[in-house]
Amino acid sequence: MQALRHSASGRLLASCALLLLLGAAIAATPALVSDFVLLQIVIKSLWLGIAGTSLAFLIGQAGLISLAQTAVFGTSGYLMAILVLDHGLSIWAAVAAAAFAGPVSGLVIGVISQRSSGLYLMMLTLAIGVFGFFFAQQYQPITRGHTGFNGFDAPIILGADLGEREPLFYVTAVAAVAVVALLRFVTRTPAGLAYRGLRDNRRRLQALGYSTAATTVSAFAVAGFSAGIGGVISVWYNGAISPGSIDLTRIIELLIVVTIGGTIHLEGAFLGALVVTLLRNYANEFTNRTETLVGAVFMVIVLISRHGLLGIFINAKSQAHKALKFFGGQRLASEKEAVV
Amino acid sequence: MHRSSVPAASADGPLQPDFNAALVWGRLSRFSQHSMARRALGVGVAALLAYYAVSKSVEIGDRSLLVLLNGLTAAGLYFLMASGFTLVFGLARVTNLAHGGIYLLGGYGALSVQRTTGNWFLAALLGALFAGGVSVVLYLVLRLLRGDGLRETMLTLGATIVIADQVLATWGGIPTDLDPPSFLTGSIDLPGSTLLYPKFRLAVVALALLAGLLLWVLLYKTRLGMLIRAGVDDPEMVSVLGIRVPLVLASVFALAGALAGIAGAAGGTYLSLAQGEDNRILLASLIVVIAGGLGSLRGAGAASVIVGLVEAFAQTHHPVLSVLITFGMLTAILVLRPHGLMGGAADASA
Amino acid sequence: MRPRNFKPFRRLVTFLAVFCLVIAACGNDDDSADDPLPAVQATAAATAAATAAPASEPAATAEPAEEVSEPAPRTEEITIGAISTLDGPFAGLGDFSMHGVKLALLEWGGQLDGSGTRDGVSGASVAGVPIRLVIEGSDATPDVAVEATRKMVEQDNADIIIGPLSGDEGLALKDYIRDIPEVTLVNGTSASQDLTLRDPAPNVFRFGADGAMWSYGVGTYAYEELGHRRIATIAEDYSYPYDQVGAVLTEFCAAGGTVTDRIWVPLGTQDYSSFIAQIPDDVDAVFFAMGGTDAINFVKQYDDFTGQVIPLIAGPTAVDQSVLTELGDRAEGLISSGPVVDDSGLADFDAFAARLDEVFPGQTPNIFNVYYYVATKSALAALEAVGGDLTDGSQAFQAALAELRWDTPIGPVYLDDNRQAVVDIYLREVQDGAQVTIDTLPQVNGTLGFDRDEYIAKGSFSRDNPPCG
Repeated sequence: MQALRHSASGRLLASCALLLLLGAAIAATPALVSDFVLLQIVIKSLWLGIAGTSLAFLIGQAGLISLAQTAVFGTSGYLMAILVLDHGLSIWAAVAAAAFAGPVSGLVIGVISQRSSGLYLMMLTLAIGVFGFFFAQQYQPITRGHTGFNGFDAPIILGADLGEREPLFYVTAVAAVAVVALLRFVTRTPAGLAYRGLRDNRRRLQALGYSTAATTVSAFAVAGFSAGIGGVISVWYNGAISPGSIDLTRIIELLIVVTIGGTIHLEGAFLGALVVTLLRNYANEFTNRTETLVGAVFMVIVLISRHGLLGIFINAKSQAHKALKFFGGQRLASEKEAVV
Repeated sequence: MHRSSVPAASADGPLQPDFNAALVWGRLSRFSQHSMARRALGVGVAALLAYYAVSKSVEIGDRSLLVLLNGLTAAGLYFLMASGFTLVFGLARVTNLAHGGIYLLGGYGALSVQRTTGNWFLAALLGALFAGGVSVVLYLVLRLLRGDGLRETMLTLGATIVIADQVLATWGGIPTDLDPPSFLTGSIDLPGSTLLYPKFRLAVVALALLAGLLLWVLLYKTRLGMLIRAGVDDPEMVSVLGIRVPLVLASVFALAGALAGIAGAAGGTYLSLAQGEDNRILLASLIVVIAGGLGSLRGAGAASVIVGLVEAFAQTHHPVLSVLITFGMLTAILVLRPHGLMGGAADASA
Repeated sequence: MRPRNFKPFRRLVTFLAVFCLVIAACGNDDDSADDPLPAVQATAAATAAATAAPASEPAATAEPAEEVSEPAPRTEEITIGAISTLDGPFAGLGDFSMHGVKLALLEWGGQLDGSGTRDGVSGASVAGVPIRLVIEGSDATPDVAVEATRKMVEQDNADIIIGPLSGDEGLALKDYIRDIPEVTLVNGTSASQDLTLRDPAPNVFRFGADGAMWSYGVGTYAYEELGHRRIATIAEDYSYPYDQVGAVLTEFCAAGGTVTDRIWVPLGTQDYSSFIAQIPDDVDAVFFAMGGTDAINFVKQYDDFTGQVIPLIAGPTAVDQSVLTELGDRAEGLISSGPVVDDSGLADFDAFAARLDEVFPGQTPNIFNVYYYVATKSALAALEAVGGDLTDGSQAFQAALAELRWDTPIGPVYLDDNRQAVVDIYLREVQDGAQVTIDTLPQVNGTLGFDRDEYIAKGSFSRDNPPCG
């Protein structure tokens, strides 16, 4: 077993098998759930999760707590809506521009906040995020003010109308996998190592000749990419974008998503998004006080786990491994590392 | 603790493209930090802004007095909020996002008292006690996390959601307000003009000054204050000295909560109490705290005056874009002084 | 180092598998546990099929009846979904809205399930068809409003939606509901003009006025009766206040008046002092259009800063009965136009007020409870007219709604070709904390009396439209 894992061909084989499995899981989902659940729970969780990965990446990899991700998200979403509805640009050109706007606005936010870190950075980016909201609300010549953009039609890709649920689901799922793969790829490049240096030990990073400023800015740019993709898909999903899509409630929601999911793995963002989406949709069936329930669930998760729900899950797994080892089984080193 | 080590572990060698970019970036940013250039730029921009502000103010004549007073009133309320926030951060390293919720609890608590007793001062006092109590409870919950800054912040975030919803459940969603004490009802004539200014607003400025004075006395003239200051500078040393740090922390939380509670009673009187006010005031005080430098009481004082005045000026002369101007100013301050007006580098990396 | 490259994918798959499982589990949960009445569940699939293919054969009638009472009526039930702002800054208004909805259902034999806002009404029936009420809340943002409505339509199988509360939510719901012709939206208090004025949807009905209609008449009154010639306006900076200011200025400027300043206050402002400082000394009056907290903040601060030397003229919701108590003495004497007055003398109004106070002690009529009541009662009356039969894809029901004419507690109402109500608007003054009628302006329509094309050509009201000399 161990030998197989280490051999290159074994790895390739396993990767292929897993990709197939993943593909099968995605392909099967629309058949398993109702149309409503597919759209309002699955697709919503996926795009909220995509936006969440940008924050999970910043926190988990680079130790940068950014509340400005909704500003990036909104920049991309608004840009697409503006280009199509106000300037008559073709939808795909607008999508490309919006996708490009993600890293660019991430870059700008990074430049503004590159000299801050820790909780200070969190508050600074909160101010930037709220600025994004007020800009959308007040700067009417571009943003149409409080009403925002309505009636945005999702594009048609290879004959499949993304206004329909199944095509939208497949595209969103593929986007989710692609975004996660890309972010994972980045974490394995030297830049990824630098991000972890930023998180764990800034001084050492500097001593090695890295600029913390450049590292911070590039981390924001990378994260901006997935936030931008999330923004684009959210506009397809809602058919609209308004200041209400990026207000303080949404800023906080994204933070809750990532905190519930945990940041040791990027995929936690999807788990967090799912939990939040389920709570938002179904909590009112149990209580008149939805918000109290949401807040309380959130507080409990924060209290009992350092790494959110995924942390609880992995901790349990690691305990199981310990027990196995006790009985002569082998323990995987990386498993333990991840839980620290 | 470290999942993977910093670049030393990289087998790919250091000469990656992004590495070169890093060096170039480093040189560029060092150049931009060159003190002469920065100072000249700062002076130039400040002069332009000052000229603009003065000429605009002359344009509207004696109404500029109103703008000034409005700015100071806002500054007073912001200081009551920001001082507590910044103290808690300085000492406990907690960014208390529930501070706005506690403001609302103080205000609504005072409202209930005023409706039964009719006395504003009793109401404000009990409202402040209530808010201080809630703040201490919050501290006790936060203690469970033992100084994990991010999780503590998240917990206060959860708390603020719960508080807002419980306020809605208890006091309802219809906006309301407190009545000012009778001798502060109405307005006075401003000297040398036909303009009026509400008495209660002037009292808010006085209240903030009083709070600032008391805080100064507390911090610099009492044993508790000495401990607090020592705790801000070096928390570990204080605990080594055998001082009961939790007690000091609890009292700071209580103090911050009470200040927010008083602010709630004052704000609930000259503004109003409603759902969403917690977020409005939290944002305003966050701007003040960031601009002033986290953990710095003097910074909070200076920044609340600056933010209040800029806000009043922008609202008067550029009403539609006023919110953006306030945030623009914050960004400008941070570009010039990354850790705020009076923040030290230590605060920023906390 | 090497195996690490492999592990992430394994985790990803594990995660996704769990994700799918959870989703699947949820989907099943919804189907089995959601609905208190199992009999209805069977029809869910049929209705869903109808959703996919509109105007298909009436599949639902084929369902076996479980409670056989009379020969004719079917036991299929009709679901009404009510949406209002139950969270966020307008949460208090959401409570009022639901009072109105429930009050209407009580008239059709319903009983309150509980005293909470989200507690429904059970036992109501129209023409023998049981009516079920589901309630969802939004936080006044369009995105959340659409999701809440979608949940009611697709999961709770709501046939009729009552709501929403705010303007931009209404526009978003119009876009959503337009694609589902067999579902009918009867607006609550969304006062956006374009819910019905431009590009109307065939299944969206508004039995109340829009923001501009609410403000009708006050501009002329200010010029003709009060003798004002120059006014300034101050209002929140978004579409609903644009409509109010726009309607007032349209009349006031046509009569020969001028506006010196239009001051727009960003939403989220608490302290109006610096905006009040911009009001010039030499105007005859100030028109202000704000809601809720903003109205209280503004009136209080205007009073403190100016002693109300320059008289105020209010927008319709700024002095709505829902905030009048909190405004207190400061609101005395304020002139406004609006849909609800306390002294109309209409028997229906007095009966409504009495019933409201009886069921929800201490509550008095305001825009929100009256409008949601009128919307719900209109829907129920139209249902009655078609014998509770929606099996034709709601076509007959929607036709009946369009033809409906009745005397509401706030006056007679009927719909124009855009399914926008023609209503009575009251010119009113605050006296002793109540809205007292100065004049009744009968039959105000959605184009404020202008020719439709001419009115639409004027363009949407905005920060600087209409122009004024």
